[in-house]
Amino acid sequence: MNDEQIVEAYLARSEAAIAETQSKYGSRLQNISYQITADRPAAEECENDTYLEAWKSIPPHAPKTYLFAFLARIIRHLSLNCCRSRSQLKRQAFLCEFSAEMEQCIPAPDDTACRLDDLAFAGMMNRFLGGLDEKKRNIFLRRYWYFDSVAAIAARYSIGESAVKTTLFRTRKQLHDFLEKEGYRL
Amino acid sequence: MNGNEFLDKMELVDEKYIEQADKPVKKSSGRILFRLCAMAACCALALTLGIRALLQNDTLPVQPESPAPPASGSAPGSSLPPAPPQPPKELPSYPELLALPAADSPTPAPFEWPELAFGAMGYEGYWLKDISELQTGNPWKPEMNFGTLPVYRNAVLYDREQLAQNVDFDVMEELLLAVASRMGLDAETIEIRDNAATEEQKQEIRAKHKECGLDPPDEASFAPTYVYCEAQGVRIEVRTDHDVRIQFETPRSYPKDVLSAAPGLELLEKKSAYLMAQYADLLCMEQPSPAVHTEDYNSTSDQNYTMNFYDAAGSGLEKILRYNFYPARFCDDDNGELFLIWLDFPDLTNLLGDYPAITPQQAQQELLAGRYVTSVPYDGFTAEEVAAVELVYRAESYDPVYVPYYKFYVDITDQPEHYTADSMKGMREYGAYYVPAIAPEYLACAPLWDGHIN
Repeated sequence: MNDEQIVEAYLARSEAAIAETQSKYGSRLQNISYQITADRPAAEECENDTYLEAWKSIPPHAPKTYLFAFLARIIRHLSLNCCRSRSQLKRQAFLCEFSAEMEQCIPAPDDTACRLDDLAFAGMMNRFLGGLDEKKRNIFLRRYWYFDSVAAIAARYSIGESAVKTTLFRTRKQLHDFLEKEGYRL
Repeated sequence: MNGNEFLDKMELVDEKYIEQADKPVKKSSGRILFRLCAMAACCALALTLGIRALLQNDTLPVQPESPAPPASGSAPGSSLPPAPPQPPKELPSYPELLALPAADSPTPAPFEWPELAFGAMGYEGYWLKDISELQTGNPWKPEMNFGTLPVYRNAVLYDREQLAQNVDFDVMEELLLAVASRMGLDAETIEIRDNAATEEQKQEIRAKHKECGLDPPDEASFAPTYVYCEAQGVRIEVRTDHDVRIQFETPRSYPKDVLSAAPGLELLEKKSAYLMAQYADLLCMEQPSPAVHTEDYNSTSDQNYTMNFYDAAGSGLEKILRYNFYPARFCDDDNGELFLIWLDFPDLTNLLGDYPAITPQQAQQELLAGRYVTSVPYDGFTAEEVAAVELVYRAESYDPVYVPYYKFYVDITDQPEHYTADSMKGMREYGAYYVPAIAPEYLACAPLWDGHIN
């Protein structure tokens, strides 16, 4: 089944929708979750919860052209929450490393909630990402969306780890400068 | 907002970017073409100047070829210095940055080239006992009848302050990592840095400008001009024009058997053989060839020489392009020890066109008609004073286009007001005059280079 047909199955409340989703995207979704939780049972649990969330949100959503990204967002969200709620020290440290890197992008980080609504934040981030070349953007997202390690990114794009680190460093700086220049207060 | 929340909010990124980043990656060779690196089995010291005899259709005298260096780069029984660390077996190749014109390229339109005016002090002149002493190692030979010659646009754009505008740091870093690997450094662990001004430095510079009543400096002037790494006593810099500078914290001495050679050309030949062997991986040339350059006489009346290396593989045109644009230079300090290596990797992928070329004889007509560029302050010379010619490309970083020229060596010793110092008595001075090697009807604007080296 293609994505459109799978979404039609959700809209028709057909249970085949979930089976087809699992068949097509199950392993990729679990990999995303495992990358964050580093725990296979937890990743499986997140995967199942993702199908439930998809069932609940289609309709009103109808992600016919972006089904994988739609599901990936859900499982990412669930996995991060799972990681934090389980209070596993190692995974906490893992997330700390990423959040520390992300803070380098924020001109004046603080602990107050984001001052931008989701729409404005999305617009801002997507404008920034759209201005990057594809390779840089992919490396940035593999790190901060998919939580890949530097080594995994280096292997994926057949470049050295040093080159990955330098690209990430430069892109974080670019984002920082972009946010400052555009006057965003996050 | 803090980093944690930012991480969460990243889920709002557009779906197309999320999907794109998860697409399987095809393993490809990309821009890097693997070039075989072979140890040189022989080298040629070629004198390729056309002298007056050529211009009168006589045969060129050619320097006898030097004997081939030993394959291992050292004489039997010599004590070698510690070899540089062995690089890993599979070494990353250098980016391929040379676009050659296709055989059936259409004739390009004339191009308006801007005036160029960069350089150093003085004028370009060569002191020699006789023109036959001049050596450049240029692979060009008068019998190479090029019907056309390529002209390239400099891929790097410079503004009025000579600041590069469109630098690709990814290529610079790729080059740095390739050079580092080929120097035996671990590319996985080296840290790449650049010389971008820190906040503190920016404040200092801004304060100084203010103090001197100057306008605040442009933000672009703080941008980095090179990337670098330092490891194991080696510092490698890659500049925006892709010049690579490799400096040793502790200069490297040559083996005794090399240093036992007589000073001058013999020593240079021994050093070249040694360097080509020791740094074969770094050079990464299919056919590394030394090119000896005559330099000035020193205070003890001995002639100095320098030596570059270039890849002599390929067609005549490829040899000429690699000789002019991609030389490798090894520099000794005052103690005769190797302390610096320069490699050039200019981006010649922007081929402006393959232009109809003129012959050396036609170029001499242009020269005698006064249609040349030069830094030499003498004119009014005769055909008899034109001593030699060679085909060259000017490969200056700030030139917006790279144009081929016939470089004429004109004997200016007897010119009125020409000054000969006592130490140079009995010698002749040859001034350099440049005539574009492209047919004049394709040059929409002259001068291309005002010859100014002041």
